[in-house]
Amino acid sequence: MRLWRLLGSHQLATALLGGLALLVALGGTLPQTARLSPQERQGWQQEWSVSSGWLDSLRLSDMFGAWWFWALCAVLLLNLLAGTLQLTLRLRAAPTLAAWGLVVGHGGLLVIVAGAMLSARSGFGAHLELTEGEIWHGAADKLVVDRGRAGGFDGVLRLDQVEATVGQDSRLRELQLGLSWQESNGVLQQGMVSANRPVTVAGYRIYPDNTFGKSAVLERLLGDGSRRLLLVHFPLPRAQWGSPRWQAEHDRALNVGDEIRAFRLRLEGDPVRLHMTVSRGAEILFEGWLQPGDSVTVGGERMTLRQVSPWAGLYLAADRGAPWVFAGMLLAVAGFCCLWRGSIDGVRR
Amino acid sequence: MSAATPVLTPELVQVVQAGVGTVYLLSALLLVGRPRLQSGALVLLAGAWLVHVALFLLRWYGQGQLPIVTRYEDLTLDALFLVCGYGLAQWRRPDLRRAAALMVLAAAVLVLGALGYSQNVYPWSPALRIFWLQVHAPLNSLAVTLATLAASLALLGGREQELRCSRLLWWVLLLWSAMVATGAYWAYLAWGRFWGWDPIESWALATALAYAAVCHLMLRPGWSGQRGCRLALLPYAMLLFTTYGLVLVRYSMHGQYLFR
Ligand code: HEM
Repeated sequence: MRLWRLLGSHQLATALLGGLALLVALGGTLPQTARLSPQERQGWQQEWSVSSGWLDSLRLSDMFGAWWFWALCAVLLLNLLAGTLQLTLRLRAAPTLAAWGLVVGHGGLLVIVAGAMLSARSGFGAHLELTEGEIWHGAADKLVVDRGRAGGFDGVLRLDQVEATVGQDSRLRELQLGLSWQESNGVLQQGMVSANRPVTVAGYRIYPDNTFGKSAVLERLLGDGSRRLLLVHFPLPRAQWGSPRWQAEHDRALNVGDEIRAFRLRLEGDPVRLHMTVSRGAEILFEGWLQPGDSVTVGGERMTLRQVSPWAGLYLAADRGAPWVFAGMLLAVAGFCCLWRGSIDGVRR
Repeated sequence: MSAATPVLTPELVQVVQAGVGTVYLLSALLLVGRPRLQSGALVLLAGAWLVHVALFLLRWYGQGQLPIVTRYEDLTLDALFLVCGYGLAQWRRPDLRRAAALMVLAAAVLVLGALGYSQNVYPWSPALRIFWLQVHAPLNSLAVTLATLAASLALLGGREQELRCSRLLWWVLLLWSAMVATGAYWAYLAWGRFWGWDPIESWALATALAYAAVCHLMLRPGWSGQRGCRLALLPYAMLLFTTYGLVLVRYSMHGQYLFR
């Protein structure tokens, strides 16, 4: 009985809230490795080798992924659960609007914490780059996962068109991505995604990622007669988005047979052309310009520049916790607003 | 990127705004001074506030979008809310004239501080063209206003204002949390996630948790009065840091517009 009272007490709430406030502020101040790029993480670990070592061992540098942080949240959940139940039991004595508000408000908080825990466990987010006209069948190797683990994607998605409007100040005014998709029911659907307006496809919400550029579509005719498409995405600096004269570079290594070849690619607009340097170690195998339609044979492999098309970044997200969190927020705000004039004094022990 | 108001040149806007800030400062000093001077201070304050409103409306009209986004606009908007809040509070409860004067001082600091930032107009990025901006940003200003009123009562109000201060703290908690909630919903629409532990998100949550902790502590008899209200200055400092200081020291994806 005493434990039950303690579990639902505002003393425990005070301690938990105060402790969490401190921890969350700390987490918002210390570098969190989950939010750093690999280079930033390395820089931080080198520059602050001692402190980053002990912060890592306490998991203070990955606080929002640490088991003890979520364990504390679980205790808060229990506190809210017990507190809300105890408030509900007391409703019989004084069923005022304020008392009801207090119950509903705390119930809302309970739903928020539970939803946030579900979201932390099951939420998923990943970046996906598609060239205009490209079809994605759900292959996981095209996803750059941001959080969580991908379930399957039971459908087909095609990027039909990319429409970007950029002002003279080289700021993005509008980015609209036309998509078509087919889910397991076989119905073909079309839609536009733009800022604040995602679409839902096969259980994933799809957002524009605000990355955008040009993509070179190269066809490789390999020594064994097989053909492969190679898509190379060139991110364009925003300053060049609006102008026909743009230029972007990309380096990549490719396995050809059992050797590695380095490709240095420079794509230009107005006129559209690709400068390609292919080397094997220090030896340069090819260096020259290709226009769409041009082919070149490099070390037994024929490469054709098929086309240069726009590409855009999409963000795929799925989160079962989010609807609960929003429902909890509505409940909490509605409940606590009922305390507008009513005093909580009558509801307290 | 153009100057904001069609009627006033940018230089004139600077001068007028500096004048408004100076009058706020003067009024704040007079309000904490002798009661005889208070009426004069109120007249000055009302006049300066009307000029402030006119500047806001001219900027809105001039740029064709609500001026609540850049750092300059944000600070100016908060000051507008603070003086409006002060006016309403002292009108309904004349005993707050002196006790709430910190709000006017804060407004002066913000109006003058805003002059340190660029006053250029920037066209909104697509994500900003949404109804929730008009709820999220003003909720922040409203929370700052009530939190400053509570802090002022804790510092200048004495024992008579204890009850009012402790009630206010619950409202600060509610409004600040509603600001976080609308931001989270917007982030869900704009970025595909409602929470990402970005420094601003973490600090905004920490501030809400700290207010909640103090409010619950104040349910205990020993902390219900002035002691609790004074303790609430701690979450108030966190609120100020989250709103005005954090983006100076930490990169945040929420601060994309803030330094232009
Ligand atoms: C101190 C706390 C906060 C203040 C003062 C604040 C204020 C603002 C303001 C003035 C804007 C509009 C322009 C801009 O980008 O700067 C904005 C945008 C936004 N805020 Fe907040 N906010 C705060 C906390 C939060 C939190 C906690 C969240 C989410 C959990 C959030 C989510 C957003 C989102 C998604 C945008 C749109 C940004 C964009 O895509 O350009 N904000 N906020």
